[in-house]
Amino acid sequence: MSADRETNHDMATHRDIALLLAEAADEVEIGIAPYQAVVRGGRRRKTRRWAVASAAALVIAGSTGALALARTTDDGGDRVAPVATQPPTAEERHVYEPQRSTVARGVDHGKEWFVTIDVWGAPKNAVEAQNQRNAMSEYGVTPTGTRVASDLIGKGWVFGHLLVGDGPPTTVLDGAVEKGDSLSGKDIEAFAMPLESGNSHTAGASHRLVIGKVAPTAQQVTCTWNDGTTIKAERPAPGTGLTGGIEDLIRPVDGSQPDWFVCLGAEGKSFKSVKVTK
Amino acid sequence: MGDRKQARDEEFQSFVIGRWPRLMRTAFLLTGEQHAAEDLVQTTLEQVYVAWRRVGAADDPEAYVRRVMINAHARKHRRRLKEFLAPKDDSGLTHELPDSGDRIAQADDRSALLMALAQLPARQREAVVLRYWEDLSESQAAEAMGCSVGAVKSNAAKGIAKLRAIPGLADMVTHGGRK
Repeated sequence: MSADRETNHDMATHRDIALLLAEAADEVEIGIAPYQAVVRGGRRRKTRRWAVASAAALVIAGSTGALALARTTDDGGDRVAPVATQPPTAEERHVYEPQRSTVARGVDHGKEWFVTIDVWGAPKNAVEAQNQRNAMSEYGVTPTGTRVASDLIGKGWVFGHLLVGDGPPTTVLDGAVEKGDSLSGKDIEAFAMPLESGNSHTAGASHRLVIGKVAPTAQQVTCTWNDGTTIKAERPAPGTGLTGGIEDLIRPVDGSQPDWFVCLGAEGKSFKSVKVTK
Repeated sequence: MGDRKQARDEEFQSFVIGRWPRLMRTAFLLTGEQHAAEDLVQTTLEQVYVAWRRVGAADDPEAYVRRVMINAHARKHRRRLKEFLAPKDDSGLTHELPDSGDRIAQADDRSALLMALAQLPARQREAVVLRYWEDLSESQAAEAMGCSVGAVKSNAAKGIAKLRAIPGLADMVTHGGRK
């Protein structure tokens, strides 16, 4: 109580200062809250939490174009949630073994290349987290930015791997996925990097491989290269399997809310921009 | 999931629009400059966006926002403020209290106060703004500044004492401001 009295007394004593501060504060031009810029910046920060291979670069982090209050009709809102029975086990949640999806495959300079996405389920407690960390070690991956196993609790983790020719797989990006980290509308998060094949050396190679994620409703992603040419990644025709080349496609990834896409530019081209165009 | 996300987006939008004016005023007092204030608020809200799922559900999102803003201010604006507001032709005024009563007295009241605020060490300025503009209790201010209540008391007291030492301030107070 005495502390409160002291505080109140203090406030009363300096009421004059408070008034002057209020007047000075009123001099600022308030303007319109730049909501779209805030969201863009926030998404950029969010995506920056993803770690990418040293040669790769974050290229874009989201568009707020579709963030209107009005509801669109194609947001997949009619999906039926499964009826919960028993909570799934750690194994069922893929805590100890990731779900792996191949999102792109092609041939460059005579070498076959693949991009795969591994999605690890979120551990619920310290025991699961420790076991997951051990399992990740066996897979040769380490979640960037985590120091102890408990850092993994409550977070799913995604690793993107690039395999070229007979070389070992390279982890080109990784990051946490937490509840609510979903993409919608024209949201897009993508990373550009060289495709290490042929004689191109990572350090000087152009960033012509773009790997990214979009909302499940996105139908087309357009990658624009530094010479103004474009490549469109679209949904594969129904029934398309993994046979043959699957470059430049948007594909679902097991365990991931967003779908993933890959664009590959021709030799010598370098990434300029990317966006959801349909 | 889509519905929840949309609801969260709408909540965040309302939060940004609703809090923007107040945050701008606080940031203006902290930074002393229009564009720096805009930058500070935008930076703050971007960080809030990243954590909005957690922040929006918290009992007191305001406390989190204040903490973020004070941290961002401490990082980015501490040094730049003095440079911006320092009188270009009198480097003697850039340290501690103004020693030339005439200069301040002739200046516009607002400028004098902002100038005096600018010359406070950052922690004193933050304590004064949080206590006497934001009207926070000492413990709330301590939480925002990430320090002890004692440190808030001390910083606020020193800051106020320096503001009171401005030669023109007494007149401003006597005349009840400018309205």
